[in-house]
Amino acid sequence: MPCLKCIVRVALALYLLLATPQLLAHAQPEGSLPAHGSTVSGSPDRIAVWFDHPMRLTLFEVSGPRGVVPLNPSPGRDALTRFETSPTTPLAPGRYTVRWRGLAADGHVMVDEIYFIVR
Amino acid sequence: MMPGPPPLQFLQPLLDLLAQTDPWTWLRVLAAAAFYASALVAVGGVWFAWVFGGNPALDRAAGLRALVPMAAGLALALLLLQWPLQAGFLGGGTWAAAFDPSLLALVFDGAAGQRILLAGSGLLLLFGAWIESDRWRGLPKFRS
Repeated sequence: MPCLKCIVRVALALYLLLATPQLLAHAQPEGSLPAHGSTVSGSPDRIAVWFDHPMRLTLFEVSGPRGVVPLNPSPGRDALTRFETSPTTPLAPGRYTVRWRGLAADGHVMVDEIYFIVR
Repeated sequence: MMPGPPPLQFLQPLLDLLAQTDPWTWLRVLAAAAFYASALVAVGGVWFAWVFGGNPALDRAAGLRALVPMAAGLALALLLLQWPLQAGFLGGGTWAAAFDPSLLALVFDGAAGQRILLAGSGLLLLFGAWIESDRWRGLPKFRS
């Protein structure tokens, strides 16, 4: 007859195994437009990032040779899998960094930076 | 003979990464570390008192009567500090973002908010038990 301790241990192990998938549900960036590290000819019309799970973007900032680029629209606080925006003025040639921060559905804080070059 | 690599060179990538870390991230990490340390002292003090509660001299020597509520209070303050720190980090590392109501609400609605509620409730319970028992010796012992 199995001992009570063994049953409790197996039950706890099963619980931990079943609870684990929630911990694996971090949203990850899947891509961006322009692509990370790419060089584009002329100012891009759209700048976008997309994720494999919904993300609440709290910061989306593009900075380049002339400082921070004004964007329209700015990120709201809704959970989305794709965020797309446009620079309000054409981007001058140079290196641009897109910095974003967000909160994944599981509460995990996500941070990333991508860059592209405008020729 | 070729000179070998300087000692601790393998730590260079880690040091480079730390140098690039923004001050807001440092603040978050330090606040979290200080919270864990003080919460550990507070909860550990209660466990200590439960186990060795029958020995007033030991209680006095450990300074539990003052140490536990002080550590619990500090932990509570650091826990609450993490709320605007998290909001500020999400908003790009500014004090304006740290007190932005929508960002604070966003943090509170998520896992960080649940953590603040749970840990805060536990620390308040410690305070309650401290006030109720006046000193930790009044709490039940594990072994009698």
